Amino acid sequence: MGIISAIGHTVEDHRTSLMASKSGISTISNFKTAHANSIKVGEIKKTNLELSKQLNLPENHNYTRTALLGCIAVKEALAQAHISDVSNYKTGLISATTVGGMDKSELHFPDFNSSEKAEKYISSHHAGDSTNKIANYFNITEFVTTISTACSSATNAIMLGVRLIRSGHLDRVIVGGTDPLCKFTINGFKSLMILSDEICAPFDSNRKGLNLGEAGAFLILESERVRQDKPILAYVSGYGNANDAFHQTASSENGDGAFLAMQKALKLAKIQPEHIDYINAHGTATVNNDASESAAIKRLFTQVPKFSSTKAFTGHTLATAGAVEAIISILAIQEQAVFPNLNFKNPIPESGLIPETKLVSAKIDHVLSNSFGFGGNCSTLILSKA
Amino acid sequence: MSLQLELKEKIIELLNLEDIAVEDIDNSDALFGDGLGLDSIDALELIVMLDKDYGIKLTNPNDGKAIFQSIDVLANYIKTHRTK
Amino acid sequence: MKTCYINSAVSISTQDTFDVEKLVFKPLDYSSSTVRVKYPEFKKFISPIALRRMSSAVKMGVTASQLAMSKAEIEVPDAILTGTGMGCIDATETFLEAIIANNEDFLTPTAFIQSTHNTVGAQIALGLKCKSYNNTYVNGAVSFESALLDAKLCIELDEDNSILVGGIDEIGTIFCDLQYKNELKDGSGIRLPKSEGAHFFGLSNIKKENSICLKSVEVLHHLKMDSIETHAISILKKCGLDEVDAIITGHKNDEFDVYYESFLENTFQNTTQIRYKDVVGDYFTVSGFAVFLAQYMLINQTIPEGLTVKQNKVKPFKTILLYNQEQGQNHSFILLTTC
Repeated sequence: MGIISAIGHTVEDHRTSLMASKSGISTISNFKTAHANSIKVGEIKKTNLELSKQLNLPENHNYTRTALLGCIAVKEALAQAHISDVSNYKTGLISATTVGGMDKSELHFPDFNSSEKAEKYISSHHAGDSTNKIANYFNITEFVTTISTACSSATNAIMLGVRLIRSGHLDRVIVGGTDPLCKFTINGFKSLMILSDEICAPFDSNRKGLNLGEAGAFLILESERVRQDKPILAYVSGYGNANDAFHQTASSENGDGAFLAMQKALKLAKIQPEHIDYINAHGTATVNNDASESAAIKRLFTQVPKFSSTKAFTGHTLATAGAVEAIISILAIQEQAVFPNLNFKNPIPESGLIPETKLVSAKIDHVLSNSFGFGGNCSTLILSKA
Repeated sequence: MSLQLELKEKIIELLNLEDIAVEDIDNSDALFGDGLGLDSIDALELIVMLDKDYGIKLTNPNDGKAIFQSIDVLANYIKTHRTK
Repeated sequence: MKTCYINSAVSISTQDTFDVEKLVFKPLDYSSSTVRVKYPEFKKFISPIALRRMSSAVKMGVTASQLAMSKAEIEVPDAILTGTGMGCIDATETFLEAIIANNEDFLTPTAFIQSTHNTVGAQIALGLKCKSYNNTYVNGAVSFESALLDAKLCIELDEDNSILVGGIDEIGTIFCDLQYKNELKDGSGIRLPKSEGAHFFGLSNIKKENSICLKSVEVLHHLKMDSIETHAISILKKCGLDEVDAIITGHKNDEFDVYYESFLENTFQNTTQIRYKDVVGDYFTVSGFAVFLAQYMLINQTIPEGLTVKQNKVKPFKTILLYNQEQGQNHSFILLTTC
C-alpha cells in the first residue's frame, strides 16, 4: 500500500495519526481561493515543487498535482511490496480521478494560447493523463486505465483489479486513485452549498457539510501465485456496486443504492451482516449522505456494528476516498482497532445511530468500507484479515 | 415590467425551460414538485439569482423551500428583502 | 466460458449513421478544425424536463443507448458501462469560465454537476431507474475499450447477462481548439478535424438473430512497434484463428501512423485493410465507431461506400480485427466474428 494525504505522507504516518486521533483538517495554504476563510480542507502540506523533487522529475515536466500524488503513493506501495521490476509479472494499473488535470488547467486557462509554460499543460487536462504518467514513470506496460465515477471511483478501481486477477487476465494490479485540491471542486461543492466552514462532523445531528481533501492512495493486488512468500496485508473478500438511480447528486431517502452495494458485497464474501466487525462509512457529513447512508445501514444490519467515518481526519478525497479508506480499513485490521468518528456530539434523530467517537480496541476480522458518488454510484468493499 | 414577469423570464432563461413561455406560468402555480417540476438543483440556481440580482443572501439551502413556493411568494419575499 | 455477443450497434457520428439501414459515407469537411455531429431529434427520445440540463454528450449518449437497448431487446441492463476521453467538456468549460469571470462568486451548480465524467452513465441509469452496476472509464483513447473489456469480463465471470456499453465524446469549444493549435505547433500537423460522437452496444451471453461475437478485447499501455504484429497473431491464435478477413485501423494521418504501417507490413499485407477516422474525425472514443462499422460489415457482408479501403480479394467477412493506438501508447485490439 502507499498513501499520501492530509494526515501523513506514508502508510506509517497514517497509522500514527489515526491511532492518535489526530485530524489533518486545516485552512488552505497551497493556493489562493476566495473561499479560503470560509472552508476547511484536508490539505497535503507539500508544494508541487517538493513533490516533483521527491520524484526526481526534470524541471520542465508537465505533471499535474494529480500525477505527482499518484506517483508518490505508487512508489511507496511498490517499495512496501518489494517490487523493483513490475515486468516480472503481468502487471496492470487502474487509477481513479475526478479532477484529472484541472488543477493545472484552472491555473493556466487564460494563458494557454500565449505562454509556453502554460501550453505544456493542455495535453495534461484529460483524466487519463495522470494515469499515463504514473504508468510511464513505473514502466507499467500491460492494461492501464482510469475510472471516474465521482466519489466511488477508487473503490470501483479496486473491484476491477480483483476481477482481472480472478479471471486470469493479470497477475498483479496496482489499484487506487489520486485527486488534488483545486478551485474547480472547491467552487463546485460551494455552489451546492455542502461545504462546512468547520471541521466536519459526520453523522452528527448538526452536521453542516463536508471538508474537501486531497490524496494519492494505491494498493497492490496480487494473485496467490505471484505473492509467493510476501506477507498478505488483507484480502479483498467482497465488493459490490449499485446505482441509486434517484437523482443526479442527492441520495435517496432509503439509501437504495447503498443498501444494494453493501448487500452485493456481503453476498460475494459469503458472509452475513453480523460478521462485519467495523464499517468505515462514506460519512461525508452532508445532511443528505449521512441520513441516506444511515438508513441503508439500518436496513441491512439488524445489529449495527461499530462504525465511523474517518473523513474528519483526511477530508473527503473525492475519487481517491475509496482507496484511502481501504488502506485505513486495513490499518484497522492490523491494529485491531476502530478509528474514531471525530466531532460527533448528537445522533441524527431519524436514525439514532451513534458511531465510535474514541479509538477502541476490537476484534476485527472483516471491515466493510463504503464510497458513494454523484450519479448515484454506490460502491462497497469488504476487507478481511489474512 | 412587473417583478412577477421579470422573475418568470429569469426562471425560464436560467433553468433552460425551453418549451415554456411566461404565459404558461401562473403566479400562484407551485414551482417545485408537481407544478413546474423544478428540483433541488434548480433551487440552488435560484438562490444564486437572489444574491446576484437582488442582493439577498441565503445561507441555508433549506430556506429556499418556503421562499420558492410560487412566483407570488417569491416576488413578495424579494420586495421585502432586496438590497439591489 | 460464456460467449460474449454484441446484439446491437448504434452510432451517432458526423456521418449519417444513426438508425439507418444502409451506410454510405460522404467526404469529411476538412476546411475546419472541428466537425460537429448532425444531432438526431433528441426530443423524440428524451423528455423536455430532462433535456434542459443535458449537454450534447449526455443527449447523444442517452439517445444512442435507448436505441441500442431497444435493438438488443434489453429492457433494463444488468450493467451500464461507458467510456469517455474528455468527459462532459462543455459543462467543464462553462463552469471553469464562470469561476474565472466571476472571481469565484455567483456560481451555479448545474454546470459543475453536469461536468462529472460519469454523467452520461448516470443519466441513462436514472432514466431507466436502473440500479445495476454502473462504471465510467476515462483513459484517453482506450476509454471505450476499457468499458468493452469490463463488459466482456462481466460475462466471463458470469456476473451479468445483458450489458449496455458505450463510448461518448463531445467537442466542447475551448480545449479542442487549444489542442488543435498545440498540435499544429508541433510540426506534425493536423491531418484530421476533431469531432464527436456516441456509440452504444447491447451485449449479452444470449445469442440473437443478428448477433456477432466479441472474441477478444486487449488493452496494452505500451507495445514495441515491432511487437504489434506478433501480438495480433497471438490474439488470433488464442481464438483458434490463423488469419483474419479484415483489419480496421485507427490511422490518423499523423506521425504515429508508423505503428499501423509496421503492424501491416508483413503477415497482414494482403488482408483487407480499412480506415475510418478520415471519414468521422478524431476524438478519444472514436474507436467505438470502428466496432459499429465492423458489426455492420459482419452482418451485411459489405464494406460501406466512402471508406479508405485496401482490398485485394473480395471474400466473405467472418472475422475482423480492430487495432488502435494513441501517440505510440494505449494500444487496443478488438476481435469480432460472425457467429
